[in-house]
Amino acid sequence: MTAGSKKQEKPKVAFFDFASCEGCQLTVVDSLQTHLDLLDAVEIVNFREAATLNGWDFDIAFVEGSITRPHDEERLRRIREQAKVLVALGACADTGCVNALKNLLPPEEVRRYVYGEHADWYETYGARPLSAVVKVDAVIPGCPIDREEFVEVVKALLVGKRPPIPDYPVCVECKLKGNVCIFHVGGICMGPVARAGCGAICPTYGDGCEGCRGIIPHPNENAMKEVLDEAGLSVDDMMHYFRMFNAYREVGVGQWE
Amino acid sequence: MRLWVLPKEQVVDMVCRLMADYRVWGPQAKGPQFAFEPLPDPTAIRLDYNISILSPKVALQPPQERIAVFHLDGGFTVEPVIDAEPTVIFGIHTCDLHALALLDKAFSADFPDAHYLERRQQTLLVSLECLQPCDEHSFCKSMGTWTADSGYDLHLMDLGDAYGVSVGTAAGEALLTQYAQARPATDTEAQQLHEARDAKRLRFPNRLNFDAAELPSLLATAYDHPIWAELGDRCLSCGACTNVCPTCYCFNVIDSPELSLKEAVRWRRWDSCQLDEFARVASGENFREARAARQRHRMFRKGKWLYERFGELGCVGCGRCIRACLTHINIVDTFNAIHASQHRR
Amino acid sequence: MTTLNVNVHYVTRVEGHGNIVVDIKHGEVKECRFEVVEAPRFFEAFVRGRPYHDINHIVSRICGICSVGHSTASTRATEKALNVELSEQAWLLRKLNFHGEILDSHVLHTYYLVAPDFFGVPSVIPLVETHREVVERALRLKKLAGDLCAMISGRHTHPCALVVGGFTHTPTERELRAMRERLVAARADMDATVDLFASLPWPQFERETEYVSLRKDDEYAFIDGVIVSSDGFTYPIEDYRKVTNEYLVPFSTAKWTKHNRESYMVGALARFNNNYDQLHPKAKEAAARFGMKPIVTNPFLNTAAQVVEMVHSLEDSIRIIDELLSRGVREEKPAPVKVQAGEGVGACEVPRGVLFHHYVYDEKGICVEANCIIPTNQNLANLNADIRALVPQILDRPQEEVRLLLEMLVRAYDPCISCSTHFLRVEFV
Repeated sequence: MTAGSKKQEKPKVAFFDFASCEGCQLTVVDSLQTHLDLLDAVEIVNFREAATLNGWDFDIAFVEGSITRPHDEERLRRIREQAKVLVALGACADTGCVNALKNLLPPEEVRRYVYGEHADWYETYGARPLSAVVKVDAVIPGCPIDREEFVEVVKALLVGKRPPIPDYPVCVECKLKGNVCIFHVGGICMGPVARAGCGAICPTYGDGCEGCRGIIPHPNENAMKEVLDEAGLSVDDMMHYFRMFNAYREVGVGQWE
Repeated sequence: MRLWVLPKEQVVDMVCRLMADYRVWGPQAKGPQFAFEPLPDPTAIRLDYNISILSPKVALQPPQERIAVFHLDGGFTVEPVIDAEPTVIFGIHTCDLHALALLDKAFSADFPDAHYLERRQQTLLVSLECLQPCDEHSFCKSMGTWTADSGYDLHLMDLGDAYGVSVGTAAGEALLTQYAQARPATDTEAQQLHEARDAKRLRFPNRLNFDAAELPSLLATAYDHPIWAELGDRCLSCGACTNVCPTCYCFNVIDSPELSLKEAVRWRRWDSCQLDEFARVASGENFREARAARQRHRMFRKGKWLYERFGELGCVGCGRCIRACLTHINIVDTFNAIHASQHRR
Repeated sequence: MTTLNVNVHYVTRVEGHGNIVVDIKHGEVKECRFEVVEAPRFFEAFVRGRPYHDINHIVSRICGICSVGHSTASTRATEKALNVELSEQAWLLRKLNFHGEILDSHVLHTYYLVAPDFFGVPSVIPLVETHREVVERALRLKKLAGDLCAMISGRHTHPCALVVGGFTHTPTERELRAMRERLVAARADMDATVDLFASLPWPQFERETEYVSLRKDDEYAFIDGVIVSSDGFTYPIEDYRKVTNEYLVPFSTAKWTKHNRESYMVGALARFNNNYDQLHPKAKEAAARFGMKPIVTNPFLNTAAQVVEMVHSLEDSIRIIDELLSRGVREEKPAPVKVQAGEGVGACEVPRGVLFHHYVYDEKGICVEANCIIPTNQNLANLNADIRALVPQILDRPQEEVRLLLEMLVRAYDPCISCSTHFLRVEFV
């Protein structure tokens, strides 16, 4: 850690997005409510959602959204070339999030369902996370990202450390909060295999975890399936839970190219 | 030891008075279960609780706390953060009381832990005798924690309309005289209390099939037992067992700078030997990579290693790890199975 | 000036990717349009085959700003399809949560996205130096709105506890009382907000327009009701297609909507025009400060109507909390669901206008058909009509001013392009 008097230049930061709901960038904006000093720590040079700034001279790029069209790749590569550090901001960029649900279905049928006879007018391909296209240096998981975790990642980048993203499951944070286990009240929860970092917010509010932050690196999937089986889930139901936010992990781009 | 009597309807009144001078932790309803938390108001206390989700250790070793602040602006100074205030933990079941006694030893050994000890110093313990086992998972009788003769400042026992109160310390006595309108017990009431304690003996089952004192020697022969592989196959590595355990005290330390980079905070938060990264070291090596090894480690801590360090078993028989485990890993069954197989041999 | 070329690639300070293209040569309009270039996401297709209890959590992800709105419209559609009745307490909490969203989104739009135009700065960030009190007030109000949502459903963006049948979490009376205190204290900030926005020089531009919104008998409608038009039409929600009348535009990938005229407008101004009588008295006072009384036909004042609605939502939130406290709050589970086949339409007035979700479920509660119609889509035709009407009126001004005014007009609609394209890709050629 560089301490003391040495004045450092503020890193230039840019925000970009692809297919997403922009809720993660909104969470970034909301982080100013409690961390207005973010603006002293970094210089924002590009943030279309919140500012009329379009600078291309940046050190750190936070990129929200999944890649869903061949021509998105070109823009992402330009961002990659410029950025010293590229951070996948949120589940769409990190894991493909719900965008990848379409990958489970036959492409022709999906496009026809939405666009009818003009399906071939629209450029689209299998939804994928950023890392399927370019090298990603760090991720901030979650749908949406956790506000405090975003600030912690910025701090880590400021001091040149690897951002502290947990590899342990949501159960850990849920227990630390002293919550009633969702399974003990008849619910279904992905907490034992889903990545923590959200403060177990869904179980804390009485709803089972859906795994929006992705699956931990070494899940015991067999044991988890037994837990779900005991909770009364059919194999189909289990697949719904495993795939809701993690379809790309399960099937990649599927039948889409 | 003097015995007192506190009418039940005066408990809320006592808690109310205590709340003026102390932070008071007590069991409260949380959905269909119970939690040990600071009481938001005196009527929230539920002394009829069976077991709390987390043990009252949360009052002395919070899941997450700031332990130091670094000042990095023009030099480097460290300022410890000791967050302690006068506290009463009200309604501790005796299994958890025994667990706190073990934590006292653990945090006093080697490098005395100022954060825990300062809080402990300012904390008074009011325990509560259970007259029924909390459910089919408790095995406090097997572990010898189903009652207590010491370790508390005050100890309550249900006598129907009132609590019989045993005084454990001078501080406890002061608490009783200043904050409650208790009266000395009559001889009949003292007799009643002893009878209630005798009567409960029959209601508590022994669930361990052998004397718990044999655990250290039993486990000494079980390091390579095939049961660990079985447990490893079932374990989710979710850490629920250790996080709900009243005697687990491992923590991780995390440093977080302020955005200005002029200050940093050192946090600590509960850690778990069941997690992948617990035994991963800087080189990337993980010396307990297999789930089986991690479960074995937990069981050995409870049945052998803590005993060797502190002269007490690391398990108080509260049964929380059994209730919390979604794949039904059961410490009693495990110990019994090892005992049975060693016996057969 | 008779030759004008404005090409704004990615209009900033709007949600999603949109372009403005104006090309006028020697007084002849070659091109004049707002393009949407957001990536399609196919929600309607991929919610099919999934169980009823997943749908609202998936479609919430259509939009990070109005996710409470999508969740509410979605749960209402499913609740109607499966005949689920909400408790009175759940209804009050749904409404309170919705006010939180209206406040949150309107603070975002008015302070963060629109105000910088009037201060002549590219974003709210430089105002931290020059108008710190304005920024701090915006942050306070936004935090209050977010905390109000979080108290009920866990968080503002993608609410956890808002589910079919009600909520999986109940705020405590203690939390409600604390929130009430904060809402009451926020009246000062709300007064200052009205003062600030009423003092701004709103661009003058009028165009006769049909306004479409929900309406209820007993309150300023945000959830449920009937569909009304300022041209005098009324429809049940189930007949939403009679209002939206989606149609294909030649050489365009978009379905536009029209009702009685070539286009119609939805959003805060439409609600204001149709339901002014039901606004809270303090909100009417705020409207008077802007000189607004129905029918207002200046689309730039959509932002002013949002300020008026912020006052209404703040006051009505306090009223709802009082009602909850006087009833007594009890911890409640979501109403039970009997899985069955069914069809339902849910409608809400989300910040940007009326939103429809329409699902069909099979007997196992699996979604087999889905349709959603988004306010921004409904507004696109009207926004383009406004652009075509405005450009000739301002042709003589410097190009930069034209560009700024057009951007301000786009922003006034508060378009939520992520929403609009999550179902349809929209391009204007």
